[in-house]
Amino acid sequence: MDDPRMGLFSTVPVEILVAAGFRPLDVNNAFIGAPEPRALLERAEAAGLPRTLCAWTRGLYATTLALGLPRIITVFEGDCSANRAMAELLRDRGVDVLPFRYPLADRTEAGVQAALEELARRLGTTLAAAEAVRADLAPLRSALESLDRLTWDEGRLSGAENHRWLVSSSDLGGGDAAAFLVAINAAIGAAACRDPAGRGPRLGLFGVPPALTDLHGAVEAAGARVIFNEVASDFAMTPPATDLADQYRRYAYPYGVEARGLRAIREADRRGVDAWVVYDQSFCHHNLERPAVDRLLGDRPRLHLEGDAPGPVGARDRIRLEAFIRTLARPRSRLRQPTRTTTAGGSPPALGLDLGSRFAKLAYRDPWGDVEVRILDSMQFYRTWARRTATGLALDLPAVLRDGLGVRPPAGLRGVATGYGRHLEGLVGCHAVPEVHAHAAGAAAQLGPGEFLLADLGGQDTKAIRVRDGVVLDFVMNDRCAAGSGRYVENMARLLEVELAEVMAHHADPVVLSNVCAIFGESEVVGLVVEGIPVERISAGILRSVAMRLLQLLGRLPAVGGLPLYLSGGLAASPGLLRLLEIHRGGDVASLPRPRLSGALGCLELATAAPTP
Amino acid sequence: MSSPSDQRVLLGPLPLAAFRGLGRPVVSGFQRALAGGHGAVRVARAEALGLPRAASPLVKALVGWALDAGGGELIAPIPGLLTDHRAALSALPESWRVRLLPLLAGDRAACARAVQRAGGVPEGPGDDTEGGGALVETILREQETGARPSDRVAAWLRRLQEPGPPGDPGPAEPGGGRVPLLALGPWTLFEDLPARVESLGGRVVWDEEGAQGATLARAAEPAAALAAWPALDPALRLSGILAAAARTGARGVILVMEAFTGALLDELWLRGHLDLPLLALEVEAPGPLDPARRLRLEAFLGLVGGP
Repeated sequence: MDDPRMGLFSTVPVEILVAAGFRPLDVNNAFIGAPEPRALLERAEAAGLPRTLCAWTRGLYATTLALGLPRIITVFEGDCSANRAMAELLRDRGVDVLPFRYPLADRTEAGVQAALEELARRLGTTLAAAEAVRADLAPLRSALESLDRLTWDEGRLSGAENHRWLVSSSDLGGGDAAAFLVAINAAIGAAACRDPAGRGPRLGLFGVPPALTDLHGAVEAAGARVIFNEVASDFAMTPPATDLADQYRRYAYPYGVEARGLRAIREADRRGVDAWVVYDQSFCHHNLERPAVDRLLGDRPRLHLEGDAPGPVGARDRIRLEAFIRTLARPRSRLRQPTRTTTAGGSPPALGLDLGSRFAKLAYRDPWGDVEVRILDSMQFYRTWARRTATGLALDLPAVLRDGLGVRPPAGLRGVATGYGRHLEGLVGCHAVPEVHAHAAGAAAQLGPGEFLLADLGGQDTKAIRVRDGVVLDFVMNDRCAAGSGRYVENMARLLEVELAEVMAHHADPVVLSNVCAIFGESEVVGLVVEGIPVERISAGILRSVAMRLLQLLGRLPAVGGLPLYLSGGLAASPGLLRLLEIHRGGDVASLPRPRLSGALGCLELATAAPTP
Repeated sequence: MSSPSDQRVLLGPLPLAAFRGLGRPVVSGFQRALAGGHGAVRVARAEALGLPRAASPLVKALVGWALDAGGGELIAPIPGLLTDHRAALSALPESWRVRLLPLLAGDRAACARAVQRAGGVPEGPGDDTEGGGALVETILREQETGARPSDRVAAWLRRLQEPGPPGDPGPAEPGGGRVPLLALGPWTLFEDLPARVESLGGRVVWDEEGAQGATLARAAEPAAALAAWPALDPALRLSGILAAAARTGARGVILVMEAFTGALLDELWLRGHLDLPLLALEVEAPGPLDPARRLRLEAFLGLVGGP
């Protein structure tokens, strides 16, 4: 054959491909390792593939054509639902497509054996020949196992390195198994000389290989380590098996989330995983397994992170990672007593700043414990009191106090900031705290000890936090979509040409808005107005949409059904939303006493632990 | 008397008659999920369980329905069902068991084995009366419970009442001077699409899902019919669509695709093979057409309805 390359869209029995004289090439690895993976996505989109398809799918299509692969093998049962239509598209473009089916309904050695024999027959080889290849690869599988152990047992190989090597095993390192083995042994030799990693939470990464290219590094920057790459380690198929049927029966990925979850828990117990990062690929069918993943992963804390196109972890997700890892360390920010506007005397003077996307919320505690609060427009705040310096964005805290709050700046003032702006701007002169913890502390300060759910409905994101005695137990946030946020409601009010308060008032007989996207939702609302639907019903529909998104978020937190729910953020002032949540959730739903100031008040609570200026 | 946990729920247009063994009630899951115009409510119920917004609306409606329906056995064909659909079934409580039905295009014996292992009857008697009878029973049950029969069920029933050989859904409905159209994909997720098409001077003369359902329901040998089920093989599907287009003289195609699923690739693939104007509509949630999609439908009917 002129060109022996066989593109892989998913992990398949490479031993059979090699036995048949093909050179396996995992197109996923070629895509993510390309110099410009985003350019490949653009090529796929220019060819007509929709933007709301998984980036991996779009990347596979463009990479296959860019590499000029003469043939691919794709998994029809046990992988993505796009594979069938993709196969047809590629056939139309002259690519030979070979399907492979894992025996989903018969995960026995006999069932797997039959599937392997069928593949061998179609490729013109035999299972005996493939078994000989498997035997030749045994040293490689053993080396992969040793390499994995260097990460989870000895801490000498980083999570990122571990991921890269294990993922590469799907095509035997690009089809040259001998060279791959040499490279792995070199990596093992180099890592063995390193010092073990320091202490810190040990994380498992559950999910398909992330498009977030520096996810492992971001985890390490936040003070933890990935010691178990769930899918990548499944690809590696270690330890060596007795035969191919055994090897591909043990391979869990194609057999659904239950099989993967059981394997993951077993490995997590063996490796000492403290918590999980669950990676969700945008528009991937695996996202429908979220409830099952949460159930299967049990009591260990977990954070869901979503990624779309290849690229680094964004500022917002870094905040979430940081908050999550901090939660694992369980800082004891317990609050002394419920506080309202006055705290116990003796606390240092402090200024809490919640720098939101729309408003900057300020809370100042003077040397006598009295608290002053103020809400300012974000743009006005930054323009007046922020200036760029060589080391970041400096806030003139004395001027904020003097001109924004009308008080004389005291000596020894501590500034504590949280909010969306914090990571983006790199504040100077302020101690930064994660948003999730600030909001939890602020809510607990208003409510006192006890356990509750807090939903912070911010300008452009929503957080659902489980709080017990001021400590964050768990949290989830919405992903990459402004629909359901405060700004969404604000935009709708503008569109309807009514006051925001008018939209926030209604709950009765809501229309159902079917569009997921906030922008398309606006077109839908225009259509409803044209049809003569009353503003009251449209307003109730907008709030219903917000309520449903929040309930979907709460649904991702396990076993919280009986806890009271408190709202903070601008939308907490909406009587219509509160009523809709009562109707659809049942149980106690209420707004915090000072819903917009929770983050700033929380900063004050956390100021005691902040460094002295 | 049977309990909810006895019920068998078929996903996709599987032949009800083939799974009516042991006196257990058999229902069609997706029809139930959308029945009575409650699809959107059921989607919301599934989302409250934690299923994402950006995911198949059809399976979310099914999960929402199943949460209220107690439990039983879900029979899921592979292939023939989107991976997304199967993935979502993992969200259901333990009162539901999922049984995979591994079918193979063109392999009657493999399909027969699968049906048999699932407790069904792969061959005979399976006459037209029984297949149609099961659908009629479904409709009657839904009427008894106050839910109106879904448009899709009604369409199947109409076709079952007309003669036609196995593998053919029956003669095309009379066009009455209207613009004949094909409807592909889960088009009844848009509850008012059939009525809108009619009001704009068009008529759906061949509905892919309805045709598949009718073919499977009327088959004397369910296993043989399943082996020829177009959902198992894109080539088979395409040839069926092309044959229907030629037979009916269709002047356009309306393709409905579930948003956020691999089905979105169908548009690009079908455009490459159909020599007819095609309107592709993504559906994010069950319900009526929104204004933007209505506008596109109007423009499309204007395009294909011209001289």
